[in-house]
Amino acid sequence: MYAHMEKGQLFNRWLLDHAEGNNFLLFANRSPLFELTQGAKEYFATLEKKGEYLYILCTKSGVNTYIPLYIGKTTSPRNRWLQNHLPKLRNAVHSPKKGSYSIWVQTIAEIKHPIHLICIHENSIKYPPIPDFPLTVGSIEYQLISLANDAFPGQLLNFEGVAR
Amino acid sequence: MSLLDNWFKENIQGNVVPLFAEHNLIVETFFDKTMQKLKRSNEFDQLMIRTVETGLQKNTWEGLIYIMYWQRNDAVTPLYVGKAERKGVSNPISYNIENIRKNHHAFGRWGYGLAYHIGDLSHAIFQETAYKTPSKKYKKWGQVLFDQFEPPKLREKVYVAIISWEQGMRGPSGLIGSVPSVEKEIIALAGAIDSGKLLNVDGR
Repeated sequence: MYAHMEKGQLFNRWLLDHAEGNNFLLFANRSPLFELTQGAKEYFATLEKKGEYLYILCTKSGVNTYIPLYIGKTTSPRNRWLQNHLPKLRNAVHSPKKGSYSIWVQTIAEIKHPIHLICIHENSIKYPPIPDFPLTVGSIEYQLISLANDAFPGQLLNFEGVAR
Repeated sequence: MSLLDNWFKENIQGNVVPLFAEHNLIVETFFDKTMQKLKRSNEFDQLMIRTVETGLQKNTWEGLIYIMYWQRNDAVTPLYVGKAERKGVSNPISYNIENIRKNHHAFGRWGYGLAYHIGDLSHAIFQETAYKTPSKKYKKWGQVLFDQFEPPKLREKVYVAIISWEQGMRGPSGLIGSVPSVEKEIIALAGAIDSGKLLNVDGR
């Protein structure tokens, strides 16, 4: 079997070290409206630095364990969520076509705990998730997906390259 | 030597072949029905068939990881990293690898069919009419790999390493990993190499 424990520990250690001050509850309500919390709206407005942000959609299991749902990167978390993910989620609720966002809707509906979004600017990155790996934001995105894929099998909504 | 170069050295020996059938960097082509296709090398086909047929005989075999690259002196310049898993989305054996000997459409993701690497690359280079237009991704592949398209002449010889993946194998991190996890580790390393030639585009 895989090094679930070690990969999970690497993932959570990195996220805990980078999440403080960058972590907010995302949804005021879920399907069908997927409305944001007031805190999320205010926080998005502050994420306007030049450069790239990593963002991790996740839920929590216990105090110090994040369960990742989706990992991405963007130059504007606000635009990525307000113009891309949220409209697609809302459309998927009513669409007869079953695509990747239908799976997002179903997955989010099954989660009992609050859902967080963690946005980390590239200048705030302290160290890579996998020891001795690069510090570029593109590499870190892949490192996080790589760790999460084995540490939390079947959880990630990143459909490119997750395990079957 | 980098982490990636060290890991390559340990894992790709005997599993490296030229991708294309070519002479003096001019790639051979053929017509598949009405569409012109770049031709894979016989060595590539034999390695893919051997990897898949041998792998499927073992319960512990999970699939394969491939790296397309240029070889420059002792260093590997990665161009593209991908995978073909044993299991399909809903089938125990993925369409990408089933009946590999005759599966020239998918052929471990390197098939001549559209939506597979050689099929889509050929479409991007020869621009023939099909049910879809050539994708930006493969137009970029064409620009990076080829000096000219008519005839198709490579900038440099292109190699592919095919790594057969079994349970318990370790990625460059030193940790045991699944096929998709290790694929991402390799991309995490390859994408940060100065040459900046990596063609992996995350579709997210």
